[in-house]
Amino acid sequence: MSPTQARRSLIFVPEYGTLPVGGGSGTGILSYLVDPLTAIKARAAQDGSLVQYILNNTLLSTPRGLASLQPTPPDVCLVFLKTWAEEGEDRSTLLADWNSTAVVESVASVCNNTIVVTHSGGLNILPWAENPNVTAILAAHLPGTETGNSLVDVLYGDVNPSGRLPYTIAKTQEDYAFADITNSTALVTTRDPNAWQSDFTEGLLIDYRHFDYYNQSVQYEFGFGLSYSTFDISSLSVSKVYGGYNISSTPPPAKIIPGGNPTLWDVLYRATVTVSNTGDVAGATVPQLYLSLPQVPGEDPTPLKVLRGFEKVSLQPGQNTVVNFDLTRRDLSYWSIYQQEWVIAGGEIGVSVGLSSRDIKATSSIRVL
Amino acid sequence: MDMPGTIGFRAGGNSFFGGNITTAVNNGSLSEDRLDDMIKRIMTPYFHLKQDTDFPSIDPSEIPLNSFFGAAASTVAFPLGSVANVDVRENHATLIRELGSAGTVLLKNVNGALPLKAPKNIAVLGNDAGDILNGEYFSAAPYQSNPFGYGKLCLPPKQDDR
Repeated sequence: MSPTQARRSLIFVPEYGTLPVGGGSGTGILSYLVDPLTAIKARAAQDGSLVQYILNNTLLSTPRGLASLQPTPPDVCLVFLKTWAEEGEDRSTLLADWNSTAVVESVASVCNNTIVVTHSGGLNILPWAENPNVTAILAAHLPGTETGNSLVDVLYGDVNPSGRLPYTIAKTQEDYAFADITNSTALVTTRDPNAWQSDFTEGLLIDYRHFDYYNQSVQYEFGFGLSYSTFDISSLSVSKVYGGYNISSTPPPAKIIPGGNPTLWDVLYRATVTVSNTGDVAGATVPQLYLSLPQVPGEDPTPLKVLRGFEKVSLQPGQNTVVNFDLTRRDLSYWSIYQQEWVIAGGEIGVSVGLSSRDIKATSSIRVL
Repeated sequence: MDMPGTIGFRAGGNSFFGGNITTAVNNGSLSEDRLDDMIKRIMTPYFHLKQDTDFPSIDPSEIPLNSFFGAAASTVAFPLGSVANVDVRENHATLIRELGSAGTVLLKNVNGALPLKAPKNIAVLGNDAGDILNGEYFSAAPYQSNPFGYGKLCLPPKQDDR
């Protein structure tokens, strides 16, 4: 038994059972639970379908562990993975728990239509993502008490998925080494007062900002998510809406209120795009606006793109709509550690709108100062 | 309002605030204006959510569920209602079903895998698919015996050891 397994046994993180909520302070007591298997059985009964199931990961990752599935291969194999997370119990890997890689590979070796669903409070790397027998992947996160029904709605197309990744799924765990997370197994007993120091050497280049800055390939980028329909973005225009005099580099002095200088929230520019549903089913998409702020000599590297607006819009097939993004002074500023103030840098500011951080559909630029 | 609680956290005892705030105002090291500002920030959601009028009393089943500090550790006599398991869910089932789907991200979909088209032979696999075994509270009593393990996210990676 590995240390991880021993710890998990100690705290009764159960091997069996779906994961609908986080642990520790991320939890809540449920008044009932609709687990995925129950919901799939109920939905499959409408079609008179056979539902076979094996819930034992040890068996699944054993040779001939899927031998009881008859007839085989099934039309579709739905594999469910989970990742326990709670306060005070950091994850030791970015893989899903319970020998997940072997389970997926075992299933995919006998089933050429393997669909993987993950339940996790955070990101997982997905080493089997390019396996041709893995035909679909759903990151379902922690859906709560109706988890099974929520999933069946998406699987059978009653709901068109429109979720987008709020993080980057990189290719490997090593790809995140830049984040400089302190490996503190030794720190529990340390007497060194500086041992817990973290210098945040990544600066502003966290998550997608790092991967973009170093032009690094990722598995699924920040802001990514598929739909059963397709969407497009066109006609980007950016105009100044601030009615005052010349825009100053730093915010005009004002009485500080909770949240800071209120002029930081003055809308200075507005970006407008047309979003259209180019597919054959109704659905929602999420146009995302990214700004490319100028590099400033002497300051930390500025990310190539930063998310400064997003909107979820529902569209019928063939329908389009106009989406506006208000750009505040704060959106256009960076925090200067030298001036201890929000500063709008001189030079060109790029404006990009896309369907993910790496699927930019329209670009423009402005000069604010 | 103290976060994460008293100085001793689990053990109870003195607060960083509480009586220390009274002392600080009395000796002039903290202005009453600043104290008023602190109180406004804390009480704004209380009044915004109209907790001062006709707000449901605290469900008595909350107390035994407090597995973290334990029922006996409560140093405040909360005004409990007389009825346990008050149903405050309203349309929660509909809403959480919708939000569960909305939070699901479709990352890959090739060969027309999804949406499903009435497949006749479905396999459901893995220990995350079925019903739960240990009750519906994911912070059950054994949590209290969990020795804190700080910062175990190890980089570079280890093998998948579960």
